[in-house]
Formats: sequence, C-alpha cells, structure tokens
Amino acid sequence: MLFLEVKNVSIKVGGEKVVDNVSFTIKKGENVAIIGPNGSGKTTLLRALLGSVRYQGEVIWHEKPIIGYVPQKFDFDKTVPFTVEEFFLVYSRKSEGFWFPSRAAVGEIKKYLRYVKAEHLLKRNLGEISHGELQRVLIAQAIFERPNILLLDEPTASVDVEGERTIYYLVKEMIKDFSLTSIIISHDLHVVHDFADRVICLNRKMLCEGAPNAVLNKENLSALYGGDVTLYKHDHK
Amino acid sequence: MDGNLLLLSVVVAIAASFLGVFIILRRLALVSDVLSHVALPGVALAMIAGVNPFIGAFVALGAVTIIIFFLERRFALSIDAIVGIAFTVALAIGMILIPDEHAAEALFGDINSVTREDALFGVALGGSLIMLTFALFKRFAHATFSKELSRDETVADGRAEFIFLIALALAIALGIKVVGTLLMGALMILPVVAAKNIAWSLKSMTAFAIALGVFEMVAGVSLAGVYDIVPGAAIILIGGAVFVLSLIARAVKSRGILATKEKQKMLSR
Repeated sequence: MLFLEVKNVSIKVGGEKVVDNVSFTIKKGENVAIIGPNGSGKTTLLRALLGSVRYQGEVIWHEKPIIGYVPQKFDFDKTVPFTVEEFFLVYSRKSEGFWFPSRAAVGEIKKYLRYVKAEHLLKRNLGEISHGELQRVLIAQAIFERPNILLLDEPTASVDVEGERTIYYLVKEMIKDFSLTSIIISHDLHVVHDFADRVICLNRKMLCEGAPNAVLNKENLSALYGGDVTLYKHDHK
Repeated sequence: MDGNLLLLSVVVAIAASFLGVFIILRRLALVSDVLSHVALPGVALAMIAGVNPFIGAFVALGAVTIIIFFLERRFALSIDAIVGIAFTVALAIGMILIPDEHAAEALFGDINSVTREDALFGVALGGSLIMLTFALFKRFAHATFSKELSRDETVADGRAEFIFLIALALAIALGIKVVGTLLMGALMILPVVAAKNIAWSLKSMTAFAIALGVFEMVAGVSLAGVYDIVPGAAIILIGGAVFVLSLIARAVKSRGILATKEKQKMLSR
C-alpha cells in the first residue's frame, strides 16, 4: 500500500536550488535510507516532508501522517534547567498539561523512556546527560507521539561507535514493534545495508534508487561521493 | 506605602519575572534591557500630548517589537543587531523630545506619582499578563527551545512568538511608572538569572524567579521609602545582590556534586 508520494519536488534555500526535481514513493512499512554527501539536500528534503520548508512539486500522503522526528542536532541552551520529563511535556501534543501532569501522564513518559533504557533520566537535566543519552531521549520522545512514520536525520551523528550500535539496535526494534514506516538519513553504509529495504541516493538530484544490494556499488557511490563532490559548497543546511 | 501601590508593584514584579523566564531562555537578556529604552520616545510624546505615559510607552514598544519581528523574519537579521539600532535611535529621539522636568521620572519611574486609577489599571493588565503566560507557558517553551523540533507546528510557534513579544511590550510599558524605562528591562531578567543559578528544572526556575522578583520589588520599594532614594534603583541593586548570592549558591552546589563524584570514584576503585 502506498504511503507517501514525492513528485518533482524542488527546494530553494536562499535562491540556491538544494533539492532538484526529486520523485520517489514509499510503501507502508518500508524502511528507506537516504544517502548522499554533505550539502546534498538530505536534511532539507526531510524538512519538506515535515512541512517546515517551502517546496515546489507535490508531497502526497496517502494516510494522515503522524510524524516522529529525530533531528540531526538538537540545539538548546545547556545551562538552562530543563528536565527530561519537562521536555516530554512541552514537546508532546498528547500531554495535556505542563504544570501539574497527571500520574498517568508521567507513567506514560516513563514507559517510553524504559523502551530506550533511559528511565533513570526522567528527572535529569537535558543539558547534563551525555550525547548518547540525549539521542535516546529524543528517540523515545519521537515514538511517544505514536507516529506512523519515523524520520531520522543522522541519529548518531554525535555519538561514539558503541552508542551508535545501541541506538540503531533500539531504532530497529522499535520500527518492528510499532510496525512503523521509516526514512533514515545516514552516512554509514553498513547501517544502510543493515537497516534499509530501499536506498535513495541524493546529491541535489536523485542519482540512484533501489535495494541496498543493487544500489550500493562502486559506480553509484563514486558518482555520489567522489569526483563532483568538491564542486559543491560544503554547507550544512 | 498604600495597599494599591503595594499590590501594583507585586503584580508588576510577577508579570515581569514570569515573562522574563522566556527572555532568558531565548538568550535575549540584553534585548529586553535595550527594548525598555525604546519606550522613552513614546513616554516623551505622551507627556507632550498630555496622554497617559503608559499608552505612549506601549505604542512605541508595540510598534518597534512588531517591526523587529518582521525584519527578523524577512531579512534574517539577527535580533540583537536590529534591537541595537532601534535602541539608539529611540534613545536619541527620546532625549530630544522629552521635557526636562519629566526626564528623571521617565528614566527611573516614580511610584509615588501613580494614581489610584493607574494602579487599578496596572493590576488588571498585570494580572491578565500573568494568566496569559501561565496558560501559554507550554506553547512559549515549545517555541523557545529548539526550532529543530517544531515540525508542523511552525505556524503555531510563530503566532506564539508574536503574542510573546506583544506581552513583553505590555509588561515593559506596565513597569515604566514603577521602576522607569531604564530599569524595567533589568527587572525582567535579574530575578530570572538568579533563579536559573539555583533551580533544578524549568518549573522550579520559574517559581524561584517569581518569588525572587516579588521579594526584590517589595524590599526595594520599602528600602527606597525608608532612605528616600529612587525605588527603581533600590530594586535593581537588591536584584544585583540576590544574583551574586545565587552565584555563590551555585558554586557551593556544584562543588558539592563534584565532591560526591570524587567520593564515588574513590569508592569504585
């Protein structure tokens, strides 16, 4: 069953075309990986799906999307006292109150934290937990909304190798348990191989698409990462 | 001090520190300080026209805040640059316009010149601002913390930001009679930065900020009455002292944590 159709989507950022005429479809339950060099428009494309950047073309959801989103970086003032519990209360549509959350609401938050083995972080400050712990909290928060699609933007960019494996393991398990559709942006080709049913190669234009085994070959990868890469500015959008 | 004035100053203190929480969360401490000066030409014009200075201040602040809001979005200018420009221009206009005999009152406020009507109006407005902030707290926090996570709520967050700025303009205008334009910005941030030093969560930070704001206000006004000094200045001096104390408290606290950690390390060896 078709879940998402992206038709001829182009996105300009500051007058520059960072996504150029991209089309693809995603079926329900599919796990798709987007790969490409820095500045190739991956994050921008994801933000178009989130509805937070303007685009030309069409994005058609065949089922009302409830999006769980794990951003590449979560910038915030680390000196501000803001507990994990408060973070859930502020950033979740389903929690009703902030000042006096019900015991049931807190129990629910704990349940999801337990899922990523982060229950003990409930009363800790977001600013004082490690990158890996923060990433796990972000993932728990993303599934807290009971999404039907999960968008992960390099969820392990700031985590060490050990933490990276834990996170991918957790994500994989979650996707299975909640029968989610997912789109993941990753640099790690091993992860892509392991994780995705289908791969989309993006460098402003779509360069290849298909099953990991079929797509992740020398030709495609050198076309994607080698040679031309230096032609593009290395700007993180 | 009569009851109305006391009530007014407490309400102003609560509204200021409550909204101040988001000024600090957005790292806009200097912005609010500077923004409060923008009220000056408004106050001056109101005095010349014989209108209530509050109205002049609010109109000036509201206009500048809305201009800043749109300039920031349209031209992607940084908010501190815009505010820096607006501030100096406003101060220049204010200095030219303001009648000499009213300059001190506009700059430092004069709580004793507050009439009964002023006080009632101020309490009503301050009360509304407090209720608004309470009700929209979650929304304000959502719009503040991370733009990364706002997803499809970007529009709602934009609206929240707009409401926040208007509330900010109202709160600054409200405080002008009590502490004056120069010091109103400080009244919004001093209790909050002190609270931030000692709090363990956003909720506790907000509660501390409000408590400290009220304490600083009441203590300042009383002190000013006893020693016959400008209330605004007394309030801010007390705020400064409280901030220093909070810094010490934080230092002691973090040293305590370090000590426990070291102890744990020793034990685990």
